[in-house]
Amino acid sequence: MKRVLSNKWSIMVFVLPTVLFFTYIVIIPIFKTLWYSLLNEIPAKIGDASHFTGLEHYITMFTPGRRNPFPGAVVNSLLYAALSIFVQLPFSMLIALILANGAKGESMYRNTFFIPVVISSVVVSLLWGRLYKGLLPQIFESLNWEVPKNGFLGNPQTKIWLSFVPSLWQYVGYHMLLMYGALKSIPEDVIEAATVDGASGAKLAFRIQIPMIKPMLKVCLSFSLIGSFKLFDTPWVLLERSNRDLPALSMYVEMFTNHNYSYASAQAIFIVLECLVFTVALNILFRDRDERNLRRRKELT
Amino acid sequence: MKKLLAVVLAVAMLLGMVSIASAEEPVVLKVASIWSAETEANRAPMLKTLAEFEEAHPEIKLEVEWYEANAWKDQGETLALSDSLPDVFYWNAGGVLWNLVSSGDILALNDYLTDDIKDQLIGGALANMTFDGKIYQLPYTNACSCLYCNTELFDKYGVKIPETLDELYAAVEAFKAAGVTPMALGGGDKWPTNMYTDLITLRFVGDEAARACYYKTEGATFMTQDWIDGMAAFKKLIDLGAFPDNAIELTRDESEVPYFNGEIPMYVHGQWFSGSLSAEMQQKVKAVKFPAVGKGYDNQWMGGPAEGFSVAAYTQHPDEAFIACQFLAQHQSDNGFECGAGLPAWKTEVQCGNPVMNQIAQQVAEGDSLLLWGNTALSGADADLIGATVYDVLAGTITPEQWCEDMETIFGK
Amino acid sequence: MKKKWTVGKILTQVFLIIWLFLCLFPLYWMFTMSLKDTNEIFGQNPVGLPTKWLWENYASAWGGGGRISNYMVNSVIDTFISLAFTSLLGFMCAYGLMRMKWKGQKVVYTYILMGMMIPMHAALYPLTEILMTLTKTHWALIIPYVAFNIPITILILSGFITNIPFEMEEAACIDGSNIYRTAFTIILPMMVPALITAAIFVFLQVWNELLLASLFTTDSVRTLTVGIKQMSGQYQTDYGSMGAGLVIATLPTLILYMCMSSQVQKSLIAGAVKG
Repeated sequence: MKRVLSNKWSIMVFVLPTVLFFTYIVIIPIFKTLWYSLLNEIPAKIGDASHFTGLEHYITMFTPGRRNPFPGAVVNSLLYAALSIFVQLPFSMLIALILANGAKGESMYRNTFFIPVVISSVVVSLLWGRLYKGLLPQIFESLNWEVPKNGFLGNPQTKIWLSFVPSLWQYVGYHMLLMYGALKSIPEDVIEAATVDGASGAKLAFRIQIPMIKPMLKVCLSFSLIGSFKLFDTPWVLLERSNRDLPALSMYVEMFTNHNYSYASAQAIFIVLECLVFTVALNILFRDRDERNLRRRKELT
Repeated sequence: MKKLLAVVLAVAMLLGMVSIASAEEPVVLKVASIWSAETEANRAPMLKTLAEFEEAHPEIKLEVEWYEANAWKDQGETLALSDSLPDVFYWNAGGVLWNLVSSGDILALNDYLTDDIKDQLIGGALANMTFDGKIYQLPYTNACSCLYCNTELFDKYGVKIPETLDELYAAVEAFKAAGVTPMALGGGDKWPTNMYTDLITLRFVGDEAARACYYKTEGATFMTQDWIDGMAAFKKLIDLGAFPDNAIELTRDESEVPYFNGEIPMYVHGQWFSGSLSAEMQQKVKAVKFPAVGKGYDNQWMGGPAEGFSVAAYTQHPDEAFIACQFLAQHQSDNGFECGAGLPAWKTEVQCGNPVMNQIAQQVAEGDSLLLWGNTALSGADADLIGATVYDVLAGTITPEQWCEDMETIFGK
Repeated sequence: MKKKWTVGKILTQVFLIIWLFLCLFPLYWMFTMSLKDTNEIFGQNPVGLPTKWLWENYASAWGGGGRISNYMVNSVIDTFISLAFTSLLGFMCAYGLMRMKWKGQKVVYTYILMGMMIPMHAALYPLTEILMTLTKTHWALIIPYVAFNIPITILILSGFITNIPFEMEEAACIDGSNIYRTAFTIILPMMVPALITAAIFVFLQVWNELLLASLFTTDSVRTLTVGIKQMSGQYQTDYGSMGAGLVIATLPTLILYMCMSSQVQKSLIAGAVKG
């Protein structure tokens, strides 16, 4: 059997098509983007005038200036990541804990909370757009509250935060379900033992339940982080035309409105780097804890 | 011998059939058009134009692909990069056209344009489509912007239709005092704001200086008092509360709803807006020239033929493509004007059923000049900039002076 | 043991009900919007039930200007073909990576998984170079969708596949079947739960995708997401029909979800836990 399982030809048949396809469509384009980002402009646009300029675009990207929105865009994407990690995930966790610990109507709530996830994000954006532009101002006026100057989506202070809300809202159910599943798979006896010892509610959650689903938390965190840096759909529909206040939006405008293909490529590479850096950081963070926990357990035994 | 004769006869027949077949093979041209939505004013006339073409030119078959205007802008640019634009396609003129011309994607039509054909165009029709003496597009419509006044509301509140800028400010204040939002504006899409700023600054700067800036000629500059005054005049409109407070988050469509409902009396917009008015509204709305400022530029207009049909440089059938291009442009000009979708770019006897459109046609024919809008004459990042900067002025985040400074950067710092 | 209604329990229920309302309100709103006319939506009656139930909005969204029916068909085609290819390629690759023995298994596995960190947008321009000639066909979207979803599929499938004991292959070998037959007739059927899990992840990515869909499609192959976005620009004075279009666009996924909700949830959890 070993012979069969190590047969070079069959291995190639199984693996090679996928690897080649993947390399051609994903890996090579990324390297091409990287190459383009190091030129002054791509040959398709300016022919022979195209030449190597190294990190020039990356420096331009971060040169402060009234007309350069990119540093602000990066900050906004970090803000979204922070909101996602420190508001959306804890909120999802709270709901997951409540439901996993057996609240009344558990399965009904669980099913309904997931519904926003299956609605198209374009639909979500359009609905929230009508809400921000139509319904919310009317509610505010009837309550005699002041509507932000220029409207919710026009006011420079509020519009970015508000453009985050629809996608944060939409995916609460997604994270909640993942955490719920993980919580439900904690062995019953562990919970019982802890309850007998007097732990309940918050103590049970923080000391026992949350630590035991760390692998799932890691999954949720990485989905969340990567999603934050490439956020595009909802703000594109909600915000004004050619808005550049998020990295993915900026890249899109540079590419298709301004036709600065190399510059846009540099921004694209930056987004990839953001994802890479934070994924690695996440792995390191969780690996340390795992090692520390392993060591601690060894000490106890 | 008989067998040989039979074979020769058979071969001859075959050859004959083949040549007949190929002679009857119509030339197939790929065409890209916008107005994919049923609600587009130009769609019905275009369908009529296409039907007329089928009748007039059975030897040419058009395969039409319909797009939404913004989506086509993006896709067309990307197709150009791989040299795969269709044979004949809709495109804007000015800087947007120059983009494709400079990368060699458009066929120059000079050889096909006989004097006979050129005489059928209105004066100055090809100004925005000619680069270095070569003509790259044929227009199907003339464009211009003006002030649309809902006379019913003006009468109701006893306001005079403004003929000078001061009267405009007075009208704004009068409406505001009566609790009516004076002017419609879709700031979220940015270019509707340019409709206002281009016209206002034109009154202060004059079409020569403005043309120099939008076409980036030697010595042009935004850093003059005239430009600052122009933008300051726009800022005054904002400060007087002429626009809805949330104008900046509205798309053009959203912003026009109150106007259609008879809630907002004034709107500065392109001539196509007259085609969007319902029959009832067409009786109430009066289209007037933008108010005067008194610096001698008051009979100048923004606009000019800025859209048309072009031929791809790498088309396999240039002769047929030109025939199609010219036919589409000329007949769409007639058909569009007839049903009030636009102003004609070709000389025509056709009458329009829309009174508002007729008012505009009449006034613009008496105008001194037509200048292409900044965001169409400029291209790429520059066009984006002139939209972004007026957006910021509307939001109140930059001053008129800063607007001039930011716009000055298009000349390469 | 009777469950007592403590303050805590009541507060918890209130909290859950508020969130329930926030989850469902947009659906209710979308539905009522679809039956009103523009004036009601914009001014007089944005939230309440429609005064007149304008069912004709649905007609105009479905046929006429909306062309929702076409776009939906395209979305369905793109999604299903993408799912088919992703599953096939994913399975074969996962099988080769996990069940077979060769040097470099780990390397290739890591190589593919790194791809999860690369968003589609980042490769956008080079993708346009490759795909622009295909925009009249469905392949312009299917190709990138499959390629970028292979990593997550392989991640999920590999997790499952390692739990299948090697005795399966041994038995098959003794029976005399070759490796291909073993893989497809024995292992594949055992992988169905995992395939469903992967399919759900991929479905959520593909069905909703907006950026590539708006760039790489011509009208005949346009998908639902782009169609909906276009609608917002087309229905100048007819927001009711736009609402109807939104409802039509959302209904299939909602119905599908409600029928399969327990399966969807089980798979999602299982996939993420194992992966």
